[in-house]
Amino acid sequence: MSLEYGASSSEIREVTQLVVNGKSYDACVGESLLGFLFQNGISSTSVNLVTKEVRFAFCGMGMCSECEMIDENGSILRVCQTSIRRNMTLTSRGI
Amino acid sequence: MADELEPLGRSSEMKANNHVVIIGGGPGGLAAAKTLARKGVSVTIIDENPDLGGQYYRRRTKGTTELVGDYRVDGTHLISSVKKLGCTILTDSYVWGISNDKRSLLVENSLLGKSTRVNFDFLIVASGGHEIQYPFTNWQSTKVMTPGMLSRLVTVDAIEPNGRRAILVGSGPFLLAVTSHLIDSGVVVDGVFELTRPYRLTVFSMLAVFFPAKCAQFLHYRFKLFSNGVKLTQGSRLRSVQDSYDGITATFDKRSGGEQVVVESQLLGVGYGFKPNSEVLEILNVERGESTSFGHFYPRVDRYGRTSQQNVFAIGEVSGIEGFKSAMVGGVLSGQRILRDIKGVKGFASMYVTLVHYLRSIYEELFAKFLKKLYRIDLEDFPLLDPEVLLCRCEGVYASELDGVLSQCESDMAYVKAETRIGMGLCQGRMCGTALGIIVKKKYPKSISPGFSIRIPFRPVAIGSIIALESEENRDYIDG
Amino acid sequence: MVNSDVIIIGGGILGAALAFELTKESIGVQLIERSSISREGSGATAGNLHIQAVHTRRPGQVIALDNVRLLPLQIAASRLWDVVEEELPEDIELRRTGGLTVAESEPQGEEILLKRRHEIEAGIPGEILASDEARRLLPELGDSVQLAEFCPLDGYVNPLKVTPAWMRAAIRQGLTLRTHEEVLNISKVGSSWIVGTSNGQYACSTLVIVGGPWMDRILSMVRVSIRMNPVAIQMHVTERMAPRLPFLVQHIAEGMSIKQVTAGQIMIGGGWPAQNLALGKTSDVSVESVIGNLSQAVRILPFLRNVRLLRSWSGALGATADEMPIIGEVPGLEGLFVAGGTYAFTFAPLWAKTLLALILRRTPEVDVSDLGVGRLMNIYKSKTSGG
Repeated sequence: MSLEYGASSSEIREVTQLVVNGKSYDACVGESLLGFLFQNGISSTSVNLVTKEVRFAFCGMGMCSECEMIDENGSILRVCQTSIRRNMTLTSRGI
Repeated sequence: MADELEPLGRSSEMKANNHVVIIGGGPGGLAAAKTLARKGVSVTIIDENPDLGGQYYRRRTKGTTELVGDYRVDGTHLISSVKKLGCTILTDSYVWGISNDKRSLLVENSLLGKSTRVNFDFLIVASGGHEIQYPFTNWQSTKVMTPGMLSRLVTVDAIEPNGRRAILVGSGPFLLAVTSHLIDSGVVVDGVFELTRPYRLTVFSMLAVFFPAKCAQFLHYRFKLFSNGVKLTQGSRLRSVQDSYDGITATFDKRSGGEQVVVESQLLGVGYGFKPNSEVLEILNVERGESTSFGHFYPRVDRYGRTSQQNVFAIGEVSGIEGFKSAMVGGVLSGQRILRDIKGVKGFASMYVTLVHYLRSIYEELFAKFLKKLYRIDLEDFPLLDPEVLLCRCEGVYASELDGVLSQCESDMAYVKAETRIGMGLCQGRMCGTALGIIVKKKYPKSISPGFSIRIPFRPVAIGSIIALESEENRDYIDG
Repeated sequence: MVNSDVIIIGGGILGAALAFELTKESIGVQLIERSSISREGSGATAGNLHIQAVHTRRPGQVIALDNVRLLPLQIAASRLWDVVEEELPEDIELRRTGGLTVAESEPQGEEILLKRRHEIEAGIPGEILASDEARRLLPELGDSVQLAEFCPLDGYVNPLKVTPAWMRAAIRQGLTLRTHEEVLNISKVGSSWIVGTSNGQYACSTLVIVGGPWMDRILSMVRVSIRMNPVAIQMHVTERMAPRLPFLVQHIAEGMSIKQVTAGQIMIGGGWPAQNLALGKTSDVSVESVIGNLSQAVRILPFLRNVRLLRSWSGALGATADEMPIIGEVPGLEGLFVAGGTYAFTFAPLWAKTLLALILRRTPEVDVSDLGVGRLMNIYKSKTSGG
């Protein structure tokens, strides 16, 4: 089982710009956000407000709140419960 | 008081009488919905995920399905048949509380950012469970996660293995299932570390005699580990994880010998079985069932999933029996029972279905009991925490901060919470609550720990979402 | 039997503050608490320091309190809190943020103007702000605010810190703390009070009951019945956020208090009633009160709409039948003192000093003769039994 993010897949899927903490990526609309972040080695979803440590999704099922990010509307979303939308801009919660 | 002010006739699109609300669209909830809806009962399924399926039948996103195909096709069929039957499906919807009269659920739609009331005549709680954690040094590392999440990444999200390596730590049969998924997807598993010592020849022979089908599944997992050169270690306690440039170094205590085992890998999945998502049942004052070693709340249920509260059912993980098969059996039985309550017994076919599932349920329960004995974790299995261990991930409370508080608390977890802030953060103690219970119980072996008390909202909800309920309120006692 | 000069029943904020004052005077004290310290109302409270006059009714409160009577006590308590902070070695997170009381209508505005006149007489600093001035001070204020009063002395203390801090300081001064011991009976032998608990018997010459909502239950052990009106009220707290709300914000006519605490969370309270009062257990939070309290909070501070509520909880409030504080010696029962009732948190250091004076037969710095026990007593028998 393998996944192509290259040119061949973009023909099938709509590619969009996904901005994560200021850095821009090509991503497929409707793709799992958690899978995309993991695949691309983005391991910061939130920064703990007390310890200031970088955290990444931990439970993968919406329980731990570690994967909360802020979207372009200022809304908090849980990465593990979200699919990639067009032109998303995400910032780690707590930055 | 306030609940007397609530209007009796509530505004809702739901038809009055015999409306069944199911919390959780996993295997159990889906089976219940199908059983009821095909007989014309009005059913609403509430699920916090973007799609039905729960953890077991979690759907691939549309994009991923187009690219790599479907996952767990039987789930796809079950979900589509439930959808075709005309159930009301509220996804991205989270039950965060219950009305004062305990007749309607308070449900937030996370996409709309609004809460509404969902009234029920019958309630089936099929809310599942989440993985139990016991902290160790640096468990907050971004390379540490639950086995469930690792499994999800390689199956549902279909990530590329890219030569990734992982180790699995914890307890229970789920670790073997996840290991199998990881191997199948091409991730290199550097070892499986089971806290207890369940894998013995005597156990397998018992399994073979009493549960031959389950035994075959076990042997299949075991063989897969063996043929892929994955070492299975029993009785090992995880002490710490260190981040390295490209991965992690995990250090284990050996229980008997005392020498440490050090393993290098890239990712670590850790979980010690499952804790029920029991908030709704607890706030409904459902009676507790048998006490468990971790003090988790399990409801007292009969074989149909009936709890001590009239018309409130609990099935699947939240009722204490693990596995998707028994959840589905429970779903059918609770559905049949409600059909009987609503419509009376009708026909031989219905009785036959009930009987078959009843017998299956007995079998599944026996097996579940066998597993519970097999993977029984004693409090001593868990080490005392080193002072530098982060106990409460959310509020940043370290084990050292328990000094003094523990000896003062007389097993009162609320006191520990107030003194240290443990469990006051965003996850509301879900990640650390069991661990604190274990620590308290180690100090006060005779105590009965009830865990943290349930507060609304069960999870953080925007204030604007909550006050969207205001329009449905009588507002009388604001003076001035 | 263990003897001491004084026994305090109740390990909340009043018990801790009094234990601290008594042990400072080298008086031998035992404190008996049925569960953990600060476990009930003292731990559940919002921790506000109310120095400007308060609104007179919680939501659902039938009898209004006399907020003018409280003013001299509030200014006296305010002075004492500064001393508390200096005396205690631990950080109790006392913050004099200043507080705004808002009005949303003309009658409410007039109520503020009236209370301001009384405050001036009592020597409480403050300032009346027209709506634009109030908004300049706090741009977050909603459109409905027409008038406000700012009092620089209002603030808060972290309730989870202050009671344990007072208790630890008292222990260092010689307090014997007995937690998880329930008082079962009280009797008088000669001039001594004998307190029987689940763990033993203790004797003293002075007995102080600061049991909050349990006060009448404990007093019934000496066959005294007082008219109490205990209620469970609820509190709400949001997730942590960057500093945004520098003041305590209250409403002149509705139960409402909002502030951002040191941890960055916003606490929203105002005495909204829980569903029930379950003493010793958890009273059920009322969803209607959650919605009511949060709706008014959003009206006054609209930015709260997008902040997430993290948790709600309830706590028992040992209110009296006339909603006023209660403090003094029980008439006819020499050496038996009680204190509690409304705003016990704000008044804690004052009540500790006052009880100390009353116990030592000195004149307290504030006159509390009208707040005594007699006014609330139903049945009164001059002699208690020998147990």
